[in-house]
Amino acid sequence: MSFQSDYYKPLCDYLLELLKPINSSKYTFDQEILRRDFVSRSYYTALLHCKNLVEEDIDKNILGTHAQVINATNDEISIDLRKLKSLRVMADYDTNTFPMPLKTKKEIVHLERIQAIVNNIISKDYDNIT
Amino acid sequence: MLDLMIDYRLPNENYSLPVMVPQHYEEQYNKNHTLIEKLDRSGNTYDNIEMTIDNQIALEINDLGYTIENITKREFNDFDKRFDIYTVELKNEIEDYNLFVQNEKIISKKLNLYTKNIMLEIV
Repeated sequence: MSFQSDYYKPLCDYLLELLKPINSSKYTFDQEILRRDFVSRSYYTALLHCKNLVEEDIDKNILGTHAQVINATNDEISIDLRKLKSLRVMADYDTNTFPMPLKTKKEIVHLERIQAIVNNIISKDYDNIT
Repeated sequence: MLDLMIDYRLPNENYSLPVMVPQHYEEQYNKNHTLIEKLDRSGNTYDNIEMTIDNQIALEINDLGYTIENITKREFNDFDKRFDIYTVELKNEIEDYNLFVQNEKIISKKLNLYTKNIMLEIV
């Protein structure tokens, strides 16, 4: 399994497994570190997959790879990438509690949803993302 | 000759039919109560009431058979656009997110959320 085929996906799957309550005794630091890492690596997994597919469509001389990749994809994929990006920005830069606590559910449901979005994106080929 | 008892009273508050409000609408978050009251009083349909986008999202989610616990809104400024992100927390547990994220797409397309720069997160 090469990095080019799955990117950070194995790491994301591992982090999500660690975040299940049954595994909470396996580490002593704050779960939030794992959650933030999961979200950040999930976004880059989706972005790198799309970037590799649209590589020939984007201008390497123009700065802003994220923007170029997002603009090169269709509406559905573009909005999914932006959804992941909005969470990635919060995960990497916002020092408030992340993700925002839900009213009744555990934070892990956010992460399961993110995993599903990434699974959907990386299952698509060039024709389905453009 | 029969002694007929005919009630000529016109319908009034003692004579009104019960208003049928689906149970799941009653369980929606507080904002929707205003909408329900409007419907109860006027008999209007949803089409002729100007609804906020969160009400529209809530109704679509209810139509799929889910009950809403809470809706929050935040903003995201990307490189070229500003987005409103609505996070909808369901009371229901979601068994399979791989299938469920398709519901986000279906609702987003139906309500043209992409063109309105609105993102939907259902958890």
